[in-house]
Amino acid sequence: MIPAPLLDVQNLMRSFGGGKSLLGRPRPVINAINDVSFQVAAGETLGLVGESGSGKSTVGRAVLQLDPADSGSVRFAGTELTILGPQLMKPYRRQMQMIFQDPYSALNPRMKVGRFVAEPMVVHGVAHGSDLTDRVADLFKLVGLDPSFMSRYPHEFSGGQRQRINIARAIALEPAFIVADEPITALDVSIQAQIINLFQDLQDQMGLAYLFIAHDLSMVRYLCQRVAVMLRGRIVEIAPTENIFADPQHPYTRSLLAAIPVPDPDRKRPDRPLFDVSENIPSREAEMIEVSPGHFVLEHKNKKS
Amino acid sequence: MTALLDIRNLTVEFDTPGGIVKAVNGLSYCVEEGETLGIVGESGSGKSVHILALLGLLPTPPARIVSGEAWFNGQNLMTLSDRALREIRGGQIGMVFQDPMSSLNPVLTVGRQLREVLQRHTDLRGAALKARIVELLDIVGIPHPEARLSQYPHEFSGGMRQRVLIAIGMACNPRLLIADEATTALDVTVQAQILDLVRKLKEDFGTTVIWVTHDMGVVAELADTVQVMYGGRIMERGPVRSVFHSPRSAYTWGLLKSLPTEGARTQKRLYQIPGSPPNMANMPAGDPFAPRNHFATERCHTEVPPLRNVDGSRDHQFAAWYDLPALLAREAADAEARS
Repeated sequence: MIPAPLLDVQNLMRSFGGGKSLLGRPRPVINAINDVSFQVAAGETLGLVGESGSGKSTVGRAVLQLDPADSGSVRFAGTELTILGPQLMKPYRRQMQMIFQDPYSALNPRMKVGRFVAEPMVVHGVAHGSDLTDRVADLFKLVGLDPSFMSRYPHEFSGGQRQRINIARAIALEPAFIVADEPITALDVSIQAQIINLFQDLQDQMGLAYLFIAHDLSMVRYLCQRVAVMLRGRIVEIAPTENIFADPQHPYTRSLLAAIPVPDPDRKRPDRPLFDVSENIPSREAEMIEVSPGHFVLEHKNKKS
Repeated sequence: MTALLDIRNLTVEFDTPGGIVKAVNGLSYCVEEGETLGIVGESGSGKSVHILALLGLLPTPPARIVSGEAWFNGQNLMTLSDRALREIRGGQIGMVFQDPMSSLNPVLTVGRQLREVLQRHTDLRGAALKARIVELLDIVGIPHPEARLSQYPHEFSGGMRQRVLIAIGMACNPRLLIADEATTALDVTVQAQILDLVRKLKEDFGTTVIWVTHDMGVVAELADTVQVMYGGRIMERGPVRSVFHSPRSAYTWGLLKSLPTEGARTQKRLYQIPGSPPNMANMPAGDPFAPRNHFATERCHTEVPPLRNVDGSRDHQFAAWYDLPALLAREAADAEARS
């Protein structure tokens, strides 16, 4: 029997706008995410890629119930989260964490970084006193920071170090699942590989599952077992990473792949298929078709002709 | 070939509460007519600061231009009056910066902003002016340019705003186009279109381009020459092929090696450059990259290496006390012996 996925997202919908503006004009309804379904297995990394405005960050927040969806189901370890109130949700918050793009604004500038990392453990009452200090020191070591830095403030750290601090806080409660929303985009190039390696190491040590939201496809290829491609609020293709890169089916996936700049001056630039997003909004009638095991593409129902 | 831009011994410092920050240290380089120079660096490399300095766009104070000349078309930009510099900026030198929202005026229509540039720097008026504006928006791939002239920046998407900025940068057929992280905030598909567009502008108008980026892939696609900067200095510079295939600076080598290669599988760790970019207020004494470089020799920690030519090459230069190809060959031989 196939084990149940750690995270099972079904038919997630979220729209913004609607109603009337201050002047009584109707505001347009924007379907930020539209019928999004996917699973993440324990210890797996699923990449979620798409252009800005495709809804990928909205999916991340909806999954963690930070900005709940309008409808649809989010099951975590078999429990339906969308119907839980704040009190019942609390034990699940321990197991699901988020890492943001901007390591600067995610930190509290007036709080010593040791306290910042300790805070979730205090809130959830898992440690206090010298035990708490020891655990924070262990977390610092785990993410590659000197524990003596605990009593410093955020401005004393570089971007890469700040992201390590954010990661230390995110793993403090030993979660099973982390949403990482463009975690390396704001970092210097010479630091990006360090953080990616840290993600890998933590996954190996703690069995973490990641939803890795990104627009850098070369990193996604390196890090993720499976990739989901989003366009205008819908997943248009989801497949094992090799399939996405070797055999992309959806024209949008192909245009994304062709757009990756290749750091090899001898490689001829691929012809870039023009893909006009505004003329290719996924239609309501389209549905996911399995083209090979685990490889799904959004296609129109009566396309076969 | 003649140099269109010739920067000599440019040094820029900042006065900060934490002391003097040396942002650019005796920088010298040339850009030939028709060449595309890709400048690569991370925060604190001096890549953006030196561009702003030569365009007269650095706020002084806190910045201080300690020394340097920047010869463009027979004039030293560093000694020109603000007024003369304003004539050159947007005219003979076009600029595109990173943030398309803050570089455009939100309360003026896009057509008006293009018109201002053209009126300032060209003799075009009336119908000819309007035709040129429409043509420019068309060149940068904005659909229905005539209808979009009367729209405001907020009515454009990020990619379209960046195209408007490129249209403004290109408006007066500049001899030199300088772009600083102009595609960094854009989606990859839009970035690809912008790069195609710049390539076309080079072909059609022979424009000289300085493209500042952190992305080695963009450099490989666009540039003739690559210049790698770190700690306010040039670490390496040369023809793209030569530098990518045979890097001489451990920093260049590390940047290239840390990129995920195609077919790299999940289990293998990425090569990572250790440490963090240098603290600008407290720069290491010698080679700025030495503290992060496991190839560094004792001399690297005490003495700044000069930029010198690779043996037998006229245009591939590097600044290092060590012989990287020899060290890499020895490492490879050692690894072979061990296995």
